[in-house]
Amino acid sequence: MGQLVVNGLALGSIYALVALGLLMIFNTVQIVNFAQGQLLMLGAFIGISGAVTHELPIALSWIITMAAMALVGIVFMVLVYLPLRGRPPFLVILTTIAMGIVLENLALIIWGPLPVSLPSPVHGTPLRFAGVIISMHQVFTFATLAVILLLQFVLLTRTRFGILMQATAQDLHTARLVGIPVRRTIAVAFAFGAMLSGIAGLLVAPIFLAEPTMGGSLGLKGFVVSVIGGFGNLPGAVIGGLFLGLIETFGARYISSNFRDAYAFIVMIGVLVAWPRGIFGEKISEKV
Amino acid sequence: MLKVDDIRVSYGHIEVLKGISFTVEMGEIVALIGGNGAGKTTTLSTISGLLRPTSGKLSWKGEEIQNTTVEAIVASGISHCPEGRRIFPGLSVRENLITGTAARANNKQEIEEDLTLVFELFPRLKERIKQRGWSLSGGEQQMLAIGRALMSRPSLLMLDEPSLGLAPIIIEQVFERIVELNKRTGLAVLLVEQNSAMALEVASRAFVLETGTITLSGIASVLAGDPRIQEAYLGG
Ligand SMILES: Nc1ncnc2c1ncn2[C@@H]1O[C@H](COP(=O)(O)OP(=O)(O)O)[C@@H](O)[C@H]1O
Ligand SMILES: [Mg+2]
Repeated sequence: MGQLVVNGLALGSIYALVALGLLMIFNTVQIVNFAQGQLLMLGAFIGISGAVTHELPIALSWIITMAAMALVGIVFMVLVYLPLRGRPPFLVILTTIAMGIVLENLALIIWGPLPVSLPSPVHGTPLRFAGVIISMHQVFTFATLAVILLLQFVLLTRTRFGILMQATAQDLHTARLVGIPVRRTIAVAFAFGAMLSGIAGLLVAPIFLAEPTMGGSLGLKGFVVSVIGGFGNLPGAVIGGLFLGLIETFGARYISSNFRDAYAFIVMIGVLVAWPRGIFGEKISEKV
Repeated sequence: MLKVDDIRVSYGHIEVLKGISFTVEMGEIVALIGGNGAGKTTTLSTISGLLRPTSGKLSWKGEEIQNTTVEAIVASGISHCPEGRRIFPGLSVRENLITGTAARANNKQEIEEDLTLVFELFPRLKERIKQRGWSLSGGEQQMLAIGRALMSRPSLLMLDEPSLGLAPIIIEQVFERIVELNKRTGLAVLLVEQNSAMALEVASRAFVLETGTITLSGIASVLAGDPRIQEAYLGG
């Protein structure tokens, strides 16, 4: 029981990271990036290229992956966001889906279809409490999520640039008018959003192995988690992620592991029926 | 200081500004008056670089700015306080004011000094410093929008219908503050209004814009007595 909770929360932390990346971009430009899962996959494979193929120290490989993913985020903005500004949303959504397919095929060409493993950046004997085993990788996953939440909070609320990012997200036109360099604030949102996905990839690859098609279901779960948390709400997304991780782990244990991926959607539909704006949906007044 | 020289602006195929020219000199309050849809907001947006003229020139402090970016125009001292206030609803009063410093260096001490100046001008904002933008009253939002525009340290402040939707007593307070600021610091003001009595009272010169063309111009107090103005903009 306790073990399932730990495993569920660890899995949920990864969903939360995917959702945070998704929302970083969504909150800034109101685009749901359906290639977020493929960005995760890319992060995992860049990490593997560094740590496994080129035998770099794992910490260095992490840093390279994070930098590369930030760059990928900016390329993504240039290819997807800039040309489609002001177009109907469904066009932009289709384009992000198409980008996901392109990324998946590129990964197939570059890295091949076989699952590969990435070592965890941490080693050591697992912690034990009352029969519950917490692996070092799980501890590291929780710590990573906590650090990222803290960093994101500090960036957005305690620095001038973060305030300018929030302003860009709330009213792009006025942000431009008051002299905010909106290209820069949007670029940082894309870079950060892609980097968060990449980090989720680095965390998931040591558990599940990496393969080019791994992104699809993880990306969708990031989306589901965002919906559960009240789309746009960061703490809501984190809680939604942890919640889904628990549901999946318990569902796989006590109901059936065949439906693992279906639980996400059952939960989403259930939540939306009960709370149409998501569990932590914003007060309407704050959205005006 | 600001010279608008025969600018034309279109939305798609529709020409909205049909070659307008006027100037704003240092330390002056100039009123731009016109009915709904005349092109007043378009004029301000063009000066601040949000829209590009199809022809004509804009010069500011001796330099042509019709191809300059919005950020550079704000940094060079033109500040635009938009129609309908448009403050950031989810940001606090203080954060809203900080957004006005976007085009400046991030010098903490200077920013604090300027915040103090804005709070001296509008003490009400200081009382509301932590409140979110959406929770402010219309008058407070207008003060905040003006304060935000002042945070870029402008030498020309462009105000787009600051009196819109405000109670007369609040309008008077806001105008009083603007005049005070103009007298004390020499800040030039380009004041756009539909309801023009108050604007003509505080301005030294005024222009009347009708469907994209300037039809009248002159000393504000003289225009205020002009029967055409009285009929069209001062409610007869
Ligand atoms: N974004 C836009 N797209 C198309 N037409 C516009 C746009 N903004 C304003 N217009 C039109 O341009 C004209 C001038 O508008 P505007 O400058 O807002 O006038 P004012 O501020 O004097 O009320 C109006 O006819 C208006 O309908
Ligand atoms: Mg207008």
